[in-house]
Amino acid sequence: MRSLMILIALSIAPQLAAAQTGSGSAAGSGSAAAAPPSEPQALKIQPPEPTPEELRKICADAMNKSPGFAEDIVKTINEDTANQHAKAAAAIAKNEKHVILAYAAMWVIAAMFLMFLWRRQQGLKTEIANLKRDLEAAAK
Amino acid sequence: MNKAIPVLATLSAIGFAACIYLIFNYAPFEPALLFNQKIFYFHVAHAFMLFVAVTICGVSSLIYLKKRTPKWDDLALATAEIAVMFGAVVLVTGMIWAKAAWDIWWTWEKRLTMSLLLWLTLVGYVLVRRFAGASADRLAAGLAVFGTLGIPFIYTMVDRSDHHPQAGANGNVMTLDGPMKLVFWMSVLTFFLWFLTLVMMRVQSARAEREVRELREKGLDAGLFT
Repeated sequence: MRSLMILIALSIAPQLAAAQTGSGSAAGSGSAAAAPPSEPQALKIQPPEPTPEELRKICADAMNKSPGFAEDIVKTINEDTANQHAKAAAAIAKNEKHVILAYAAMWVIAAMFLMFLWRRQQGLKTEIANLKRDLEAAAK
Repeated sequence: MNKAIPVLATLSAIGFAACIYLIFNYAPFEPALLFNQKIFYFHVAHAFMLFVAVTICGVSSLIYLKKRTPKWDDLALATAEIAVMFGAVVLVTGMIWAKAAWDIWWTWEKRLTMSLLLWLTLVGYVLVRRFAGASADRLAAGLAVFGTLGIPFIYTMVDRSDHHPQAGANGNVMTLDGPMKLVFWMSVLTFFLWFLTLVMMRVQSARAEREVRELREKGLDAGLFT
């Protein structure tokens, strides 16, 4: 019984100590939220990413400052888009991959069917020869 | 071996080589369907042969049900198995073409769904023949007649909401321009020769199966087998 009470006291003691520290700091600073964050939490804080509206504003400001920059941006984007369209059109127009795949599939299925026919025919030939031999032997 | 088989096989092989040359060197580039359109010459030719095979299977099954002559049953069995093969090619090449042209492997539109159902009916025919026992020939014959009824629906069942082009007089096949039409019909002829070769081979095989059955019965009568 005595040892049980000692165990309970040992397990409660750290919690009591923590509660006392918390209330003490809260009383000292006037607000629990003002307590400094622990170090790992402080490392996690990242600067907020700019929203699309903010990015648009940054870009528009840069373009307004330098008209040449604006023209360059528009020209580059147009060229990139045109190149991407041209590449996609060429890939679709000369889509060899699917044509080769379709022709290969056709020949593979036909070859499998032929192999199946040939093997069955060979099996039947052997079976007919064996049965005829057995029947002839039985007739003798 | 039937003497016509090597002749037909050789003609088919020559036809295949000529078709492949013409498809890629003579038939013009189709600007709307682009290079994928080259699949059309074999895909549609296979679909035509599927229709021919299923029709022959259905008609010969009907005759077999009426007359019970074994040669019609052999022909039905041969054409059913060949139809399964042609159907598999139609479905697989169609899926590849769909992926290339529409960016989807499959869509449940009417023609595709009916084609899949027809193919499954034919697979059912082959399975019935293999596993249904003594009455397999008659059960399968009924199934073949049922499957044949689907062909007109597959051919005509395309409306404007479908991805597939319309069939009939205003369809793609009938309105092909000169060189494309020539290559396409040559492809159909080649596959018809190939179809005849396979039918003859498979009928020969069906006759051999019948001979095995008869020899086994003789053996049973003679007390050879227990």
